Amino acid sequence: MTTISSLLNSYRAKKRHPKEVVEKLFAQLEKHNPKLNAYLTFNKLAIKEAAKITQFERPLAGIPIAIKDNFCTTGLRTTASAKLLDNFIPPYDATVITRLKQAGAIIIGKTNMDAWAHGSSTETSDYGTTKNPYDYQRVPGGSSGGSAAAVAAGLPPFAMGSETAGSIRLPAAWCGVVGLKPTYGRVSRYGVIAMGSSLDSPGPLTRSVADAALILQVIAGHDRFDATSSTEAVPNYLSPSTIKHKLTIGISDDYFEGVDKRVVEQFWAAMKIFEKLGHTLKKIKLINPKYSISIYTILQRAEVSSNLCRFDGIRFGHPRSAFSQQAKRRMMLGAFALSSGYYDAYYLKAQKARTLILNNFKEEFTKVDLIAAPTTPTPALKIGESENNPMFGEIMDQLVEASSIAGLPGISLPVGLTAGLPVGIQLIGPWFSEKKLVDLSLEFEQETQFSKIKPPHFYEI
Amino acid sequence: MSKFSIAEVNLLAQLIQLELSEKEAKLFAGEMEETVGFIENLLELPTEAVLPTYQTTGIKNRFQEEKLNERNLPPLLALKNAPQKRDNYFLIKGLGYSK
Repeated sequence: MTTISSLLNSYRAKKRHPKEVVEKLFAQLEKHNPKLNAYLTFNKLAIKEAAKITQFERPLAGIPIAIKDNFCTTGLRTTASAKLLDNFIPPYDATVITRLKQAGAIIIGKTNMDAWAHGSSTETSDYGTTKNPYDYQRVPGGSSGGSAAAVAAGLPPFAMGSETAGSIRLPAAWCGVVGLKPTYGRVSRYGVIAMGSSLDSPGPLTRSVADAALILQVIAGHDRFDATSSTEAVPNYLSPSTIKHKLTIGISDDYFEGVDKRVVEQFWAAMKIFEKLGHTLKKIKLINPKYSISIYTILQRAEVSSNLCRFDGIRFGHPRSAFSQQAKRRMMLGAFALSSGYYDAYYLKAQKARTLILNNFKEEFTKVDLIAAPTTPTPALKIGESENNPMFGEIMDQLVEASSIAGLPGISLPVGLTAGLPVGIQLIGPWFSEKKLVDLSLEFEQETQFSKIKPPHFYEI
Repeated sequence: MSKFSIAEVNLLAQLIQLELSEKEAKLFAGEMEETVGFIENLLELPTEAVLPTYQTTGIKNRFQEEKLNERNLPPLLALKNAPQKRDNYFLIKGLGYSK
């Protein structure tokens, strides 16, 4: 399998050059993107940028990467998959983009997503649905669906996504790739088109755990342009494992209600592997996800309603009449939850319930090191199945919402296929425990070789 | 009949400067009732003894000096995406209450 480090080694040994790698990648994209619809915009300067690289010391020198279309990229159209921003050319880079560029990464293009990140399938994109590489009749998940589909198909196997609650982990699970959602504040939100500002967390989607860790190393750290960015020191995610003793992994019965039997089976098969590696499983009690759906729906829609007010069509983009229905739907409920007379009953109540979720995790993390659960209630759905359900996204994301509400880090790992579709499990850790998540995920990856799972059309970069 | 009247839905839309078609107003009135019904289970959670959480990692009141930095865009760049501009300014319609 081609990883960032194997690619870097081939550059350093002068066996390959980024220009050739990027050219070949574009040739593949020309063939496959029209069907996959993973990209909205290509970076036409990518080949030129790649050709200029002569030094390969930097951590991502000449590494091609796909970027979700909600990261502002100087001179490269950024729409968040919304027609309202159809003509928006950002005059600055998001901090994540600045750091990736400084590390030598080559931006290949901007990937499709649910418009404004509102959704879990890419079906709300104003530019059409991305297809799941395992089955073109199915959605890739979302909102970072274009990034997940690109990574699964190897076009390229490295991408940036962002998660408010589920937008990295859910598409990672449905496309059979690794999705790492960092602690809130670990990675700067500056220059990322805001969805829920108290929740938004940028993070990588990759085929291997080491690649996710490497990208996280580059993008993590304090940023003075994001007032909620953490000053907590960034550990070396790539150093040898810091797991000195066998871990206790918590599992809560509440996370299996209504979950597809095939997903549950795959989950327990994965847990057997953790036991085989010497770790212990322990029953814990988490607040039922049905409450997380409610808390998350209120918080997210309130924040969406407030955040989308900045799109006035005066400084950039089209007038507010250009919003498509899903954005209006969410803003409307948010405006209701924040309006006088209802604020206490909905928004304040949800923020208090959020404290209960935090306390619940704090309590359980005194008994276990990490928590495991299925990532999603089902494998990837067929295109169109989400229609007529105004809360589809919130329901599909129910198993990741509590950890997002609490600001915790999590990682979704592929565990296998069921009826030809990928299934993912997630590991959730305490605040800033990304190193532990990476270390345990690496053990699991080495044992299961999950990156050998590939869709029918896979490009080995 | 929805818990939300069409007039109420339009009033909410006005708050966030959205113009809804008749069809949309009707759709949202129904959906909002459905969603509000779904989230009512929050009432089952005992929150009397807790304070709300607005920030999950414990950051409080961060300030920084207000001065020019590399984040500030020169006027030409800041105006680049504006549909209407004049003399380094964004051009807007007159305010609703002014003549």
